[in-house]
Amino acid sequence: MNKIVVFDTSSIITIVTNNLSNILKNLKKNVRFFISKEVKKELVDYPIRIKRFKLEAMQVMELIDEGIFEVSDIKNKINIMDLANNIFYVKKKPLNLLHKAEIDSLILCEELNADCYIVDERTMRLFIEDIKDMKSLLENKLHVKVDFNASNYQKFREKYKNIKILRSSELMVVAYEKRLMNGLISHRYGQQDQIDALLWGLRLRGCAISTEEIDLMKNIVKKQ
Amino acid sequence: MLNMEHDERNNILRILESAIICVKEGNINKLKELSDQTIHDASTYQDQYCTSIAVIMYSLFKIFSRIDYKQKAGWQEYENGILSLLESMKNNLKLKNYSSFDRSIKRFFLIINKIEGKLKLYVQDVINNAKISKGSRLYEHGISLARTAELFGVSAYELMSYVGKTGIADVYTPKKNMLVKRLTMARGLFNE
Repeated sequence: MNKIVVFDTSSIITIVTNNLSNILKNLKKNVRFFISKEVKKELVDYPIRIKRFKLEAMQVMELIDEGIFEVSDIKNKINIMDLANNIFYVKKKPLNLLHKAEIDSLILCEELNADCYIVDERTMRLFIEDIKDMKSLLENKLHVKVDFNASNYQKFREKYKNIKILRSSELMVVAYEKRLMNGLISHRYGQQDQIDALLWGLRLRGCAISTEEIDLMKNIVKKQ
Repeated sequence: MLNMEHDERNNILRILESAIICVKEGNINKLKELSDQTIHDASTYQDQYCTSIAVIMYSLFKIFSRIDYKQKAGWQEYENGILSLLESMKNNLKLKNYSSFDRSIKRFFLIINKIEGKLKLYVQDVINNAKISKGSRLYEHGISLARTAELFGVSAYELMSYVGKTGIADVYTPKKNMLVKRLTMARGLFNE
């Protein structure tokens, strides 16, 4: 049975702007890649009107036309966004941290019973994986007390606690291990250098992977 | 939205009053400070007033930092126009005349069209960059990428590319075992 992977906007942007979209074609064996309609709007429908990102928008559209990405609308119209955006409060005012495109991807994961959700931006990842760290981040940055609605969070968590999150960085490292980068990255350089280049390329185009994680990753990639 | 909370209004008023003095006195560093102060309100209130004021303050800091702009044709007119708009924003906000306040904000972004020559291009560029720069600060504060792009009217591509070049990714490092766990999961997923 095919495995299901849902992508959000950020991870596709990182991959496309690093000219790594061909890797996805080769990775896509026994796996189906999905995006939500809202994510397509962000990746194609809006930027196609901006000269600066028209080319990238067309590249993503080509991936859709080729069937690399399947675009799916969500069926569940229950307002999860209200729930997610009413978990943190500042001065009794809810903090709207997430966008419809991100929420729709999450709902899509649930509806398709996805094996994982690929997200490069940090906020959604923290929401799913470590809500305490999310609260600490908000308090550290906003310098105010952030109130937490535990009841809303429990409802949110109950629905999405089983969603597994990956970033483009893990995806591309697996592609590297499967030798799919051969011909893309010069073999003149050693493995550590190649992984360093790959991960910094992803990070510099928006993937939220820390310097510490990049250094750690270089040491755990399987030797080629 | 044609209303505003008490704290938000007071903060914007304070910032506008200080900005007028800064522009008149050429106090560039203070403009930068004011720009930084707008981020917390933009993160919490997330309305067009706070985000616009954040962009305006950062743009003013950037524009007034450039001594060479002051030599360009049309500069004096532009500076006078900006001061008059800041006064208008302040006065309308004081009177709680939100629709006029809103119009003054919009005029700030339209006044560029009256500038002639290269200065227009420079100022336009500064304002666009200000939206992305301030957007990246909101993302740093915990607002998601797509939500931030929506608030500042920029594309997710622009924001991702800017954010990647900052140190934001180092602000938070997940626990060490998380990386190993993720990689193991990815290997399992793409194992034929």
